[in-house]
Amino acid sequence: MKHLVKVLIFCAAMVGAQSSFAQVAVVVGAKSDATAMTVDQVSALFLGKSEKLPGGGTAVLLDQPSGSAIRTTFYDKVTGKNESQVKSAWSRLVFSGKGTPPKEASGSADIKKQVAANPNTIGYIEKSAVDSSVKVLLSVD
Amino acid sequence: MLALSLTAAAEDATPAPQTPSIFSFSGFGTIGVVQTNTDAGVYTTGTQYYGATKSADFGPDTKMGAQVDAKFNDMFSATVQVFSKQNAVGSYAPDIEWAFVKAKLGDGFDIRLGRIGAPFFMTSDFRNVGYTNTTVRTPVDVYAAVPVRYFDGGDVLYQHSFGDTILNAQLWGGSSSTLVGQDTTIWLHNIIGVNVSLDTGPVVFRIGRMQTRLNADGSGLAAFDGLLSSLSAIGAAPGLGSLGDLSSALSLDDKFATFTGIGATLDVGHWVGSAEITKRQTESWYVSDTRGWYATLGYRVSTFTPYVSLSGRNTDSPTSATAPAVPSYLPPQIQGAVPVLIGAVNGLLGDESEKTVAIGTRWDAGKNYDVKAEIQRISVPAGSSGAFSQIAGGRFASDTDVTVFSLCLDFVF
Repeated sequence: MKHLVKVLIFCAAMVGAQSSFAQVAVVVGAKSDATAMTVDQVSALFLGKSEKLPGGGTAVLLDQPSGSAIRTTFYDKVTGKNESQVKSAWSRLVFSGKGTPPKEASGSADIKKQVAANPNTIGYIEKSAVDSSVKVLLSVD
Repeated sequence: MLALSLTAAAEDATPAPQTPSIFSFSGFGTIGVVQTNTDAGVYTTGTQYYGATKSADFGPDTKMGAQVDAKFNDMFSATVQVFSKQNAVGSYAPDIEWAFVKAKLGDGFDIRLGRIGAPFFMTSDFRNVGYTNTTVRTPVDVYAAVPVRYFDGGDVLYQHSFGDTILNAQLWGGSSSTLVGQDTTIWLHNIIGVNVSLDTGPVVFRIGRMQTRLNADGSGLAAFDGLLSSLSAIGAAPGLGSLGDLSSALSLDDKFATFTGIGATLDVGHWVGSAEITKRQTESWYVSDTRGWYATLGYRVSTFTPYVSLSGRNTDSPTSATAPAVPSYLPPQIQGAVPVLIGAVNGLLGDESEKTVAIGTRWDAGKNYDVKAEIQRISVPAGSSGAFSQIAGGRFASDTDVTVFSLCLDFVF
């Protein structure tokens, strides 16, 4: 029983650690004209249902590396879907010539670099990685 | 720790963004095998030549596609897709499935010109990409009603968001053709169609309607054309006018046809579902009037999505013709010919009614592939062929239940 309690405490600690790590910021370059977005708007963008940035132009989407924890967290919290569901949604668009999925960046540093270079590029990074080079359009805890 | 610092170093070493290639390459496919519990008819998913019986067959579901997209600038892009699937003569010769240029006109308008996927159904655009479907295949009871996969012409796409609802509209027009048998091609001319969908996030509603003029050509039609001219010739005899009418009713020459579909999809929490009803109407008895419907509901548990699907279709146009009474003063050749001709007509007028119950599961076994297994019970009423071909006598003589087992692997890359 004591053992079980320990296990439970350990699990709770892990869950806690996961959620503090899991704070995600949806970002564009600091100079972008894009304005704040709702979870539904970001979800529509990253599932290819819409492609316009509020206040900006046609969005250029960036993904974190496949299988990374932040990518899993982002899609789970924003779209409620796992990686294979997201892959399926994009396959519907790709194979009907209606869209191209987000380009995969190498990580948060790369995403910050790319959003700074193009005002219509949008990505997501850990909240702790946010700095003056980016503008946060949505924070997800 | 070492791994972390290595990753960081690798990130720092990433060169400044280079100009990305304007081309992207992708592909998809399904390897599927089907077996039934009968040798009385052959199960296919449409107009295919080879299919499943008590002997397992890869013919109904196996398919493969490859696509290149080119993005020239923010306004212009192009897509070419090559696709291979067993056709009506048993060949896997690849087709150019898509070949279009697209221009973004702004204000939510896009225009596409070239060869484009024909949007008859809710999932027309990606019905061949097994990975995008919960079920092994889109329900044959509905999706076999139109074997046409693409058209040559153009369309205008419009998208508008209000709040969290997204409106999509499509106006399409052009012409198309599809092989339906050995050297037999059905043409669709003067196509004009419109589709509208409303996407609320968890639920998407869609309605579509199109109209066209049908024609047919190819040497495979020689017997059909011969029958029509015999009917017309004998129909000129006194009292046999109904045979002439039968000839005109069967003819495919410039016949008007419409197709209408209403559907909805659901994707909320663990639940996925879709339902669609469709209606095909033509002025030709040879291409029958049909109604089809299906409803599929699945529940996602981790990487498994077990599902249930119900579907059915009915034939609404005449499925048989009766011989007129031949006036006794007509010559014996005519007396003898009439039942033969009516017999031939009845061989052409098919009833494809059936009902299907399917249970199965999708398993997302890997990052870009899934495995699915399904068992279907197809109930075909007496006098109908259902989804089956090569039945002795053309149709089942009594009510027939067939069990169909399917197993497939779908992938995208």
